[in-house]
Amino acid sequence: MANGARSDSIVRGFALSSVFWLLVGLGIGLWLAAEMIYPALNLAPWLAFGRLRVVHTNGLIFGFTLAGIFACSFYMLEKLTRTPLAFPGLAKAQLWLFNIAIALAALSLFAGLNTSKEYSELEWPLDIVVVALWVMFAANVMGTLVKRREKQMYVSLWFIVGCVVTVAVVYILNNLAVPVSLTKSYSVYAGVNDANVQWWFGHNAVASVFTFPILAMFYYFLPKSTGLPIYSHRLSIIAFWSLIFGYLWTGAHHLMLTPVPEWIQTVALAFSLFLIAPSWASVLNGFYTMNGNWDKMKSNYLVKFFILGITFYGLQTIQGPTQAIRALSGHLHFTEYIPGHVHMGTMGWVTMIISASMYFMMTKITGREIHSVKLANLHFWLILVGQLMSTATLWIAGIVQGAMWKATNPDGSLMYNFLDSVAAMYPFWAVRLVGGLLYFAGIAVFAYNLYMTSRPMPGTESPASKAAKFQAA
Amino acid sequence: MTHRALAYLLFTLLLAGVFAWIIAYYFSRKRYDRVEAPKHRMLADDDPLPDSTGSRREG
Repeated sequence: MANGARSDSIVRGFALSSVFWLLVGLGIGLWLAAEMIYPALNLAPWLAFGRLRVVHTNGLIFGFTLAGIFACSFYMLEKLTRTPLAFPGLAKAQLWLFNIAIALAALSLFAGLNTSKEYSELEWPLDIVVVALWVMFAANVMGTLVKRREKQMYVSLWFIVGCVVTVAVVYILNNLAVPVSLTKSYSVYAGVNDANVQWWFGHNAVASVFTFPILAMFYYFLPKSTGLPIYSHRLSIIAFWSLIFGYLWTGAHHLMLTPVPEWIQTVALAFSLFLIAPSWASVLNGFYTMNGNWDKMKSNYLVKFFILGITFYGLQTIQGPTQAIRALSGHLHFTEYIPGHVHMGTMGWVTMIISASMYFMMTKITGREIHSVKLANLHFWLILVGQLMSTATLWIAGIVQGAMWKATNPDGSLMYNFLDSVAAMYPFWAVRLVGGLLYFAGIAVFAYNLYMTSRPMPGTESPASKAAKFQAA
Repeated sequence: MTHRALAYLLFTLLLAGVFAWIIAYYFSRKRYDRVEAPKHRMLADDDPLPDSTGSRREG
């Protein structure tokens, strides 16, 4: 296969950065899970749960996932447009700036500098760096699309454009703030408006980071790794536009039964239920693509990741909208069910798809087979079992917790006090920690396998350098 | 109905209309082959990319 991608080193750099931040974020997640059981592990202010939790979420959303998105987007852009990146030097600068920014972000959050807006905790100087990074990314995406040699855009490109545009809009609008010093700012919004804008951003961060670009990867790497065209391209395009049409209205489902106006809550609920259709359009598109070829689940180590990944996406997109229903929200909100829901999406859907995409890309970049298929299979089973143990346990814990908070005696008094409900969580938290350890072991195997695959072997030449020599001749 | 409420309603109807048009456009039988073509082309072997410093970019 001829391959003349000029950005291989950039893709490799982002892929390895992504895995590095994944290990850091998961390590902190394990520490947090242990702190739930052994509060004595809050050894110092910078190790306190409140600070570590935001390093965990930011490290995994912005460190791991965004780096994975940059790596895969640059790779897919060049392949699907049959055009080199418009500004490769800018992409290289973006790689360095990105890693510096994530390190500074982690240090600032460890230090307790925090805007208190969930997933938007970074203070204003780092917000500006994030915007600069995004402009660099957008310049390459849009510039390459403008110069593309392939007239029709495959659906993955639509999803990448969706990611670029929506992240820019929601991130900038939610982070508008008045700085009062280098390390402190106040949101320009107040009260219930602030909450509404915050969750408009919060839920669309889920759309723009955990959905659009990951679907772009799914639609690209599943066909590429199986040789099977996607079942229906037009269905995938409709799924894309439906998600664009529906997602931006759903943020207020995080604010059910709050002082936010009831009509806003109802709109959010209606659009949340509407989103089941386009989400499942992608799920079914994936399943139908495999029709008659399900044996590839056994013979092709990548297919398992993609099919289980899209299955978790399907489950996630049933669970999310149903959680928005007022009666269920009243029972489940603020319980362990919610982190259970989020972790199925991130540990199941997002990480499985990014892992498999990286295996595929790295073998193409180096022109070699994967270092070890056995290790890839071990990686798969460890993260599958670890994820299921963690998330299913948290769902059950959340249902128990919600039931305990609402249980009343015949005279109307509460049956349990709050501490009873905390004590009841300990066995669940212990199982979650074990699941997390298994998951971390799986990711460690992945990191080793990917690194070994990415190493230049003495005496071998990458496809990119072969192509460059061919063109020079 | 206030002017603002009317504007919201019209904007919502406009969005719904655009959305319906997109669905009708992509599911039109006469465009089937063209709309489905990219899924086959993306599977073709990747072409060598032109030199990033060269001028062969339009297409």
